[in-house]
Amino acid sequence: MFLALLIACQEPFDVDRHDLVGTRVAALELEGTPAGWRPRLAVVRNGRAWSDERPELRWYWLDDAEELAWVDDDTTPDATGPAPLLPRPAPAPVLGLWARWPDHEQRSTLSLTVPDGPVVARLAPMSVSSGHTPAIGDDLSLAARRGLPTHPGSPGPDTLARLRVAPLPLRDHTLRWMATSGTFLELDDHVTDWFPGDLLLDDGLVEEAEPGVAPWATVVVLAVGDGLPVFAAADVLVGGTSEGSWTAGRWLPGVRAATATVVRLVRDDDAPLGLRSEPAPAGAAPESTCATIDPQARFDPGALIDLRCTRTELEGATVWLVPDGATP
Amino acid sequence: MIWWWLPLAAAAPVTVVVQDSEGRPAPAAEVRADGALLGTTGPRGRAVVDLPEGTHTLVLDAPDYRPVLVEVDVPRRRPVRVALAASDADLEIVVEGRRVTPHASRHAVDAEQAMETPGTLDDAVRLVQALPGVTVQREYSPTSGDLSVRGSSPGDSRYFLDGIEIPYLYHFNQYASVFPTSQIGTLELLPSTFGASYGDAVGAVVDARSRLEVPQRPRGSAHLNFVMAGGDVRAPLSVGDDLWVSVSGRRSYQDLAGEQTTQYPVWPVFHDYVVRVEQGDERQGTGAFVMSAGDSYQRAVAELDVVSDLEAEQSATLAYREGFDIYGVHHRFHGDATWGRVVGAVVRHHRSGSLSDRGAEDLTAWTGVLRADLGGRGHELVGWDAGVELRASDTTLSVTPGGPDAVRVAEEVPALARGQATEAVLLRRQLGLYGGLRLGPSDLVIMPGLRVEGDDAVVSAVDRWQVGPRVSARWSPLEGTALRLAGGRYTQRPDSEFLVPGAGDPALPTTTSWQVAGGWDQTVAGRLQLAFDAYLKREAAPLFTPIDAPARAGAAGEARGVELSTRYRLRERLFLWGWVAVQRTEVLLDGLVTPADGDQRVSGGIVASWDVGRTNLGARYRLATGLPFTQLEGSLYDAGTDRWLAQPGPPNGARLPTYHKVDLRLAYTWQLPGWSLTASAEVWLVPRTSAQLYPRWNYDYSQQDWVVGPTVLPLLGLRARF
Repeated sequence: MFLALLIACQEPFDVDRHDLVGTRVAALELEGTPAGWRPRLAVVRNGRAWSDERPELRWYWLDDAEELAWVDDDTTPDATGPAPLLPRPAPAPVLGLWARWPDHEQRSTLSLTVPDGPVVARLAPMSVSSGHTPAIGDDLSLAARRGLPTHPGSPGPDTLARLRVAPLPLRDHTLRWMATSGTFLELDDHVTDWFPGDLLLDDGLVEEAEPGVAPWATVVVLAVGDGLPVFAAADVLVGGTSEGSWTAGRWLPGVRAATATVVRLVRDDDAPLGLRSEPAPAGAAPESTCATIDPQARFDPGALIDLRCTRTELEGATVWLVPDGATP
Repeated sequence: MIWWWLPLAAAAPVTVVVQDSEGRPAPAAEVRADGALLGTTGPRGRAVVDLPEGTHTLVLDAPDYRPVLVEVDVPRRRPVRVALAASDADLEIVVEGRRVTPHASRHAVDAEQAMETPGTLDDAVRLVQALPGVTVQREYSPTSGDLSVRGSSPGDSRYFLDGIEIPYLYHFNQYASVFPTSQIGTLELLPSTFGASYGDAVGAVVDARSRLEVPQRPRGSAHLNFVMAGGDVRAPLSVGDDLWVSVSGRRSYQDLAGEQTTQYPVWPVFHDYVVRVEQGDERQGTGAFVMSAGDSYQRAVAELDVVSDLEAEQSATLAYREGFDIYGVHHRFHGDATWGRVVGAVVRHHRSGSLSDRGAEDLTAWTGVLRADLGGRGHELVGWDAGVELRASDTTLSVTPGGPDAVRVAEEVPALARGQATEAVLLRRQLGLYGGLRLGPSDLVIMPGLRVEGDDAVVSAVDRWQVGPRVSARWSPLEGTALRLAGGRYTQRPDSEFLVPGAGDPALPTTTSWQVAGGWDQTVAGRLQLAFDAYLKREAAPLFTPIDAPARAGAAGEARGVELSTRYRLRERLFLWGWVAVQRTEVLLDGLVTPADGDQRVSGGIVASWDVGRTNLGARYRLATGLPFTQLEGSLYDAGTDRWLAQPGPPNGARLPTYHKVDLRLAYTWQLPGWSLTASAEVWLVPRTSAQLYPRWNYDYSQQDWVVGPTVLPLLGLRARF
C-alpha cells in the first residue's frame, strides 16, 4: 500500500502517448489488395506532420515481432519506401518496419494474426466544436465534462474543443487521440475534449491552464482493436480565422476555394502541411506529383504525413485543390 | 603445600544465591554454564554447583525474570549473589554463540535487539533483515519484504514457526511480519550450511519458536501505531498443572476509518492472530494452537495519476486476497538423556486475485505436516539427533487468463500474470529423514549428519530421492575463542504452484547446492564479541520465476562472501553492534554469467542503543551498494495494439544507486502500578541520492526516471504491558 502511495506522488513524464512531438511513427495501416499488402504510415518529424527529407524505410516479413530487434544493415529487407506493394507472405505473420533518420530510429511491427480487414472501413471525418473556457478550480472531471455544452466552431487558445469521430461499429475498437500540441481529456470511446495549451488537473479540478500559442494543431486518430488498425489525420484551427481552404480534413492556408481550383503550392513553415497555396499562373495545368491521386491531379494532403511526398518534392507544384464539400 | 592445591585443581563448590529486585529469594532459578544445567535454586533461592578452577560465565534464569550473566572466578569463598529483574520482555534471551549446534552459521535475535533496534518497528522478523549476510532492501520498494540471504533468492529460503513452515513472512510483502514479536520465544537465522535437521532449502532457514514459558499470573500487552493495533494475553488456567492459555491478535485499522482512494477503492487490510492452549513449558509439555494471517485489498491496475480520466474509469480493478491458517498440536519432552518434540499440523494457504474485466487466479493448498525432532546424549562425548519431516499436500490452481494488463498484477498473483489457462490439482508427498552425531568434548566437537529427501512429484523416478551429507565442526582452543567449519549438500524442490500442469512445469528439476562455510568467534571480557564468517555456495539448476513466463531452471549459480560483525553489550544499559559483508553472487543463464538478483557487493551497518533510566535512545546506520536490475534498451512499437514492447538490455546489467539509511529512536517507559506504558518515536532518514526505489519508464520507454521514496518518515507507537 505504501508503494502505491509513492507511485501516486510521482510527477508524470512531460511527454505521453498523445503528444506528436519529436520524431515518431505514430500509426501504421495495412490495406489488403488482390496483388498484396500496401502499408500507410503516419509520421511526425520534429513535431510536424511533414518532412523535408524522407527517412530510410525498410520492410520485413517476420515470424515473430521480436525478430525485428535483431535486424541490421546486413539483413535484406523485403521492400523499401513509404508505401511499397508487399506480396502476401506465406507463413510469416508479422510485418516489421525499420525507420531510420539521421538522429532517430524506430522499429514497428504489425501482426497479421488477426482477422483480415481493418477495425473500421475508414474513420469518418472529425468534427470540431467549441466549449468551456476553463478557469483555475473548475471541475473538469469526467462526469462534469459530460454535462458541458458545446457549439459549432473552432476553439480559442484558452477554450476547450470537443473532437468527435462518428462510431462505425464493425468490430470492437478503441480510439487513440494524438496531436502536435495541446492536452487531451477523453470523454468516451469516440469523443474527446482538447485544450490548445497545457491543462493540469488535480482530482478533476483545474490546477493550471496555459493557453495555446499555436494557431493550429494536427490531430491523428488511430483505431485499434479486433482487426488491423486504421488512422486519420485532421487539423484544428485555434482562434480567429485565416484565409485558406479545408481539403480532406487538412487546412491549406492561402487560396480560399469554394470550388475545385488550380493552385500552386509554396513553402510555409507555419502551416500544418508546411505548404500554403497561391493562385496558379493563368493557363497553368495541374501536374501529376507524388501527392496527386487521380488523372486530374487532385491534391491529396495525406501524402505528406505518410511520406509519399516530402515537402521539398511538392514545393512549387501546381495541383487541383478540391475543398471539402465541393465537387471534384 | 602440595596437598592444599590438589582439591582446588578438581571441581570446587560454589554457592549461588538468587534474589529478586526486592531481596526476596528466587526459587527454581536454573544455574547454567556453557549451556549445561548445573543446578536449580531451592525455596531459599540457593544452589550449590561444582565448577573447576578458572573463570566461568554463569547464566541464572528463572520464570518471569530476565536471565542474568555473571562471571565467577573459581575457587571462590563467598557466595555468588545475583538479583533478577522481572521480565517484561517478549523474547527469551539466547546466550550469544554459546550453544553448540550443527548449524555452524547462526544468528540469534534477542529481546533487547528486537525491541530497541531502531527501524524495525519492534518486529523481530524485520530485525532478521538487518543481520549480516542478509541483503539490505530499500524500504518501501517492491522487494522490501524479500529475504535474500548470502545471495540466495527469496524463494530459496524456508520459514518455520515451531517446526511448521509458514507460507509467507510479511503482510503485503513489506510492512509487518505475520507473527508478532510478543509470541516469539526464540528467533534464529541460519544463513547457510545448516545442519541436517533442515532440508528442502538451498538458501537460509528462519527458525522461530513460540514463547512457551508458563505464566505465573496473567500478563499481556496492547500496542498501537499509525497502521495497526493489537494485543496479547497469557494467563494460567491451572497453576499446579502448568496449564495456560495465550491469545494474541493484530489488525490494521485505516480501512475502518474510511480510508479509500481511487487507486485503492478497498483500502489494504491485514490481520493475524494466535490462540494457544498449553500444558508445560518449552522443555516439557503438550499443546494445541491455531494461527491465522490474512491480507486483502482492491486496487486499480493502472497508475491512475498518469492516465486519462477515461482510461482511469475503464481501468480494471484487482481484488486480491491472501492468507493462511495453521491448526496444530505439539509435544515436547526433556529427559536426562533424550529430548525432543513432535508436531502435527494442517496448513491452509490461499491466494486469489480477480480482475474486474477478465482474468482470475485462485490458489489453494492444504498441507498436512508431521515433524519429529529427537536428540540425546549416550555418553559424555557422544550425542545424537534424528528426525522426520513428512508433508502431504493438495494444491489446486485455477487461472483464467486476463488481458495485457494482467502482467501489472504479477507481484500479487503471479500465475495470472503468466497468462496460462489452468485448472489443475497437484497431490504431493514429501519426506525428509535425518540423523546426526555429536562427537567429542565441548571444546572440540565434530557433528556429521545425513539428510535424505524424497518427493513423489519428481517426474524422474531416479531423481525422486536426494541425499544430503552434512558435517560441521567447532573447536574452542581458548576460552572465548571458537572456530567453526561446516559443509554439505543441499537440495530444494520447486513449490507446488510451479509444478502444476498448465501454469507450471511438472518436469522442473531439483536445485542442488554444495555449500561450505567457516567462521571464527572471539569474546573479549564477556562483553565484546567479534565474529568472522566466510562462505562459498555452488548451485545447479537454480530456479527462475519470470513474471511473464513459466518458471524455469538456470544452469548454475555461485555465491561467495565474507562477513565481519562485532557486538558490545552492557545488558539493560547499552548495546552496540556493527557488521560489514562483502559478497558476489552470479548465475549462468542462457550461457551468460549474470549477477543474481541478490548480488549486493558491499553492505554494512552500525546500531547503538542506550538505556538511560526509563529512556531508550537508539540509532542505526545502514549502507548497501545497489542491487542489479535490467536496463531497457529501446522498444518495439506494436502498431496493432498501439503498445510498446520494452527491449531489455543485458540481464541485471545495471545497478541501483548505493543506499544509505539512518534510523533514530527515542522511547520512554512509565512504570505504573501493575503495568507499564512505553511511548516511542522514530525517524527514518534516507538521503535523496539514496531514495530511488526502482526505475520507471514513459509510454515508449524512451524516457526513464525513478520512483522515489520518502527521505524523512516519522513514526510513533504506544505499547502497554501488564
